[in-house]
Amino acid sequence: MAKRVIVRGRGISSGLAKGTAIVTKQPFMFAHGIDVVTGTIIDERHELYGKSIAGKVFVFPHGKGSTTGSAWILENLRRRHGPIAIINLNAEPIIAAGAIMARIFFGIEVPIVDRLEKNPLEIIETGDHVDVNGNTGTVEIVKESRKPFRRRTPPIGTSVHST
Amino acid sequence: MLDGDQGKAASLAMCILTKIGEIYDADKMVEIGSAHVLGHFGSLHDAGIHVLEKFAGSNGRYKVPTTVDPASMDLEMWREFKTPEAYAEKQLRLCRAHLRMGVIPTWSCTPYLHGNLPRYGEHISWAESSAVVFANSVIGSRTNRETVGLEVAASIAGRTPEFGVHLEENRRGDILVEVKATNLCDIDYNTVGYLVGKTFGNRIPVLTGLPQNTGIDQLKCMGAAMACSGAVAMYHAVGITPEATTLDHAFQGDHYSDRIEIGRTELKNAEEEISTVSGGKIDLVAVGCPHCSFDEMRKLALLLENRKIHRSVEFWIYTSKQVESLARKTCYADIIESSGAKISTQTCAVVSPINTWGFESVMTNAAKFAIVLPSEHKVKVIYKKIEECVEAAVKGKV
Repeated sequence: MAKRVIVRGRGISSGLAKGTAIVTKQPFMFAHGIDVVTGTIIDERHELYGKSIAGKVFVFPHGKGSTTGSAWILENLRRRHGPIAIINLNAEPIIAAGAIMARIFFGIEVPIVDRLEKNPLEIIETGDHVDVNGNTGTVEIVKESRKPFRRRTPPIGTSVHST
Repeated sequence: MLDGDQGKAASLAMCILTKIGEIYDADKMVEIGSAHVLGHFGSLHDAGIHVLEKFAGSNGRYKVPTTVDPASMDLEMWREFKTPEAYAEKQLRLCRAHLRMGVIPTWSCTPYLHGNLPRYGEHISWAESSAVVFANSVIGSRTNRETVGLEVAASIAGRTPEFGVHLEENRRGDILVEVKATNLCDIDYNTVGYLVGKTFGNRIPVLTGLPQNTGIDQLKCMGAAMACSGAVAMYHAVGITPEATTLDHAFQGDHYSDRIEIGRTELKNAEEEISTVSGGKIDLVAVGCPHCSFDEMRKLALLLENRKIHRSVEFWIYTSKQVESLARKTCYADIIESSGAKISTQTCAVVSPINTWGFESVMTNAAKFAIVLPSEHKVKVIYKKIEECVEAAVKGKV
């Protein structure tokens, strides 16, 4: 059984997107922090280093770093290897301008929602399915209920390795 | 303007500005007195070229005096500095788009030294984080940390949404930084900036303890480090910057929420922390972040006089075309170049592809270079005062 949660916030950038979430509690730097061609995170100091945000719903507190950030987002989106939606605690001009220009100049819609009534960093986990509506500022989170883990008794004579 | 009565470019610009204004609850737009825009391909990418060419192609013109940040290559000697041909072509497209819109071709991160000097209290729209801090803090003009696209839109429209530090109440100091170390030399201002930005992110620090003879170059370097290690848009220095005649003035009569003390020990520890290695062979000494002023060029020339840079070391000094031409009218450029050092204009190591040289370790006296270069170009960094940089460049190692 999947569990559905609907939370409301503020739509910063319009559009609709559904996809898998990638979540971090660390602020994120687009400028010099992302490989714009592939969507892979290249900031070695970030906990998501080596992971990709391409095609994902990217959930992070807020942007940081250089004022060139909006151009990095824009290039990443233009190459179709950017996030399909963004959820922030508080979006700031770098992130917002990137998405606004993507729509104006390249016709790409990336919904952004912030100021949700519940903390998205606590209620959304990496791997959750998220439905983002930038027009209404609504986010729907679908959590697949995981089967309880059953410990199997190993057959006699086999060794159990801890992994 | 939004409905296109002033042309397509102005309408596009207003579309971006209006949306940003709505998001940040701006009550209105304010007219701006000047703009400072970004123009380096290294960060703007193909998307940036597209945006600028779109604005320029739809007859976009900068409505207010608009200077531009360094390019991603020395615009005259890019071949000598091993810039790939295809990369150079893209940078030149960006240059042409800016020129078509009427940019003042300063290609420097210190616009306030090159004719773009706003007045106290004036609203402006500047990108380049180090210049933003300088304008807000040292001059007392008002700009948010504008991002790529917003500054161009604001300059075309001649206005920007009024939010953030455009508003008096958002310029209030928030944290107290007591500088206890004495006899501050140039690098110490960099290190103080680094510590403040790192500790307090995007808040507004109020510094006490800076000596009365603190100069423009030192304030410039301190602000650059703050904006880079954190996201500081402005600081106050009591008795030095205009919105901080007293401590009370800087805090607008309110209390601070946090405080730190910076003594000699903190400075020494931070200096070690900024370096990624403590010594060894060096390939490049990079100075001029932010761009060297004429006075900094003069001091460098005095240090390099009758010295010879080691044959395995490159020594690059970044500055504007204007400062370079002044240096050429005096003996300083000759002295610098006789030592083997090179003057590179209209660009810097942060925004240009220096990785074509295969450098492994870089030494610098600038905190911003030291913070950015390791991730940008995958190099090791040694951060020391300029005298030590010169000694190491002569010996080839630290």
